Amino acid sequence: MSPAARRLLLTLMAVGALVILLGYGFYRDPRYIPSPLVGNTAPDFSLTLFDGREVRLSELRGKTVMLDFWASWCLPCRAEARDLEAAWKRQGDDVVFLGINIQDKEADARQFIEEFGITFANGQDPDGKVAVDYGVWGIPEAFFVSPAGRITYKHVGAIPPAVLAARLEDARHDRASAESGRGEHQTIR
Amino acid sequence: MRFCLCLMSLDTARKAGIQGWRGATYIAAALSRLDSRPRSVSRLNFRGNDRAVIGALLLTFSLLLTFAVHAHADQALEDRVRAIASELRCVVCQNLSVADSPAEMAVQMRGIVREQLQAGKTPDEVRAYFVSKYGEWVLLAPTAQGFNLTVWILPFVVLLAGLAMAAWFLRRWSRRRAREPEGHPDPEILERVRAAVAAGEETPGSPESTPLPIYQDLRELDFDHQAGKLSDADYEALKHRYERQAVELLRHAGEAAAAIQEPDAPEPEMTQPTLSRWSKRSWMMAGGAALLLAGGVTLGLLLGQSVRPRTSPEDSMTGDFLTGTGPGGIGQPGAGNPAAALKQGQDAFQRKDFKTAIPAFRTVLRHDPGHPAANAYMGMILAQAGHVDAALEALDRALARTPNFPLALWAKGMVLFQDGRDPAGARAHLERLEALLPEGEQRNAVRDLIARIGEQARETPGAPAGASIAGTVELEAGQASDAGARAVLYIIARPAGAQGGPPLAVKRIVAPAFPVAFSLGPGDVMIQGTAFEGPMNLTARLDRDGDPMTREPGEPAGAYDGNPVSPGARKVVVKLR
Repeated sequence: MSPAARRLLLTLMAVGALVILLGYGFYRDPRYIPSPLVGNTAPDFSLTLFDGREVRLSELRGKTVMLDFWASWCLPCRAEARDLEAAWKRQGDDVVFLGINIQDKEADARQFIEEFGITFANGQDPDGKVAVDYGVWGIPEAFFVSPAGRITYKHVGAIPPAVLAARLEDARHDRASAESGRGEHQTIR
Repeated sequence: MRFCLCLMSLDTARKAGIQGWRGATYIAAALSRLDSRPRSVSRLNFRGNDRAVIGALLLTFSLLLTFAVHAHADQALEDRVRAIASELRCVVCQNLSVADSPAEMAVQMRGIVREQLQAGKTPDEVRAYFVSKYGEWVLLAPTAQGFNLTVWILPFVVLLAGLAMAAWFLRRWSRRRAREPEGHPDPEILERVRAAVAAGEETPGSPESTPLPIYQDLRELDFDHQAGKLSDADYEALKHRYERQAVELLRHAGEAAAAIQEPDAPEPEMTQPTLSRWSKRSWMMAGGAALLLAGGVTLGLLLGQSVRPRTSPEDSMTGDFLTGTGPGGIGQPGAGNPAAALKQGQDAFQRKDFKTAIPAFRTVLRHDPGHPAANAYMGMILAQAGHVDAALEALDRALARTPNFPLALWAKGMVLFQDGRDPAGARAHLERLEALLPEGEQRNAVRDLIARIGEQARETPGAPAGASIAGTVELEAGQASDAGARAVLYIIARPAGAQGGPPLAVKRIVAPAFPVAFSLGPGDVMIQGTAFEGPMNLTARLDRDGDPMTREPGEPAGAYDGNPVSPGARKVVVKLR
């Protein structure tokens, strides 16, 4: 190989490495936070529901639980609200949907529930402790908890009904997904 | 601080009923009165009880000590919270730490850090908690383990590679210069070179010994010169250099064929005579590089010293170092550092320089709206200015964060005592303070004061002082005890038997910390001039969003089990369900 060709090759390699590095940096979403929680036991919490009842996650062992973090000001949450309610109505007794309202005014949250006719359980996390416990950063954010109490899947953003159904089935059989799903979402405040 | 407490206790002593804060004087004056003009003590209308004055002073000093310990612990905790928070990445911002971010999420995360530290967790455990929730992503500086090591090592590797490259280039240039021969070229060989160039011959010798195809270069030089691309001076200089190189090459090629087989052999002979010149140049270059490096390091060190995260929206990144706006600097009081602002505020408060103290405490409160010491001081300033309601709100905020904050308990007790506003409330707070103090003279002094309050209430029968209802509001087990910063507790008294209509009296407590000691008296009536009397029903409710217009179902509320109750009732316990 002639010195000129060698020099050209070296230059190309250096530039190529730089381009690949830049491309990687630009391609990935710096706001995206991969969750270390999937596959682990779901952190326990208790929540006062809007109807005044108290619910504790550990008391729901034996049932498949879908936790949905939302806020009334979040547009993707509005977009998925009807789908979630429809999916909820199709579920049997062994599945629980639990909406966790974060960073919101209680009146706004109630208005939201009324507007979309949501019938599954919903409660407020006023100081954000549950949200931090689940590493929430973008809403809506859904966590699927198996009857054994393990997080099997996490989805950031509005969740398509087909994905919801499939992941509920996975959760029912305690099959954890290697990766978390992404959709249209909004960063929390 | 010292001054204020003393003047407060002296005020207590002076009127045994306290006519107001406005008559407050400096402790220096007060002490001198005590020392040099003992008769004036009796003029203080203190029912001749010097012991009480001494007791109040002793109490003041002990409170000062307790407060100092408290304030120190409080500040130390805040510093630790800040230290940890500044290592955590705000999950909703870009490139901001949890300590610097104004986002709601960051505020909540700081709260969690504080809570966990208070619960006795170590900083490592707190960090580990956040890492377990958000992964390594949440750490601003990744741990130096596994793959992350590349992030720590790569910059140094690149730096070393850069230095190596620079050294290599320097060597190459110096070698090339070294190869340039000295002295006048052999005229005979020069003629041969010129003829060869004109004839279009190739440079003799193998490629290794002829780094430059010199004949070709000379021809291109001529071409460029004729095309007008080179000035005459440049042309002459370059031509001269190339010809001399060519002459040297030819000379070597002709002298020994071995020189062609071992092209490096003659080089040492050539570089030898130029070594001194070369090393002089290299020394100059090395010196320049060292100078540049030193400049860069100094600049880096200075910037590292001077640049720090903004502590408030008004703060600048260079803060105290370059702009002089930091603690002790010009511009806003303690703009950069809440701790310094607090200190500045305290000093100003001692001097009764409220113009400086108020903005200083505001700076602290902007950084941390619940700061107990800053709220307590603001409460005292507001009380002195006559804004009793605002003062009580500030003091309640202080007590909401630290229910046993001695200064706030003391100040609230005094505010409630002032003008006979609410002796029962004053008593409740002073009793809490008493419980905090260790057994001893100080505690006896507080007890003495409490007794005095009772005495006064008895001595002025019919006065509004005795006609209040005092007790506590408790949350029933199962209710979240942390009501949140926006929550407001309303304690409401309605005339017994009345259905609907406006309440007789309402007490509003911001950010309550349960159990809440309260006192509802004539000062709380809704319509000015209405008498606080007769049997009444006492209820309380907690408004979690603090908006009185909205009334969400499910919010804790409750009524006193012993309703109806009359003014003067004590130890009334209202349970919220």
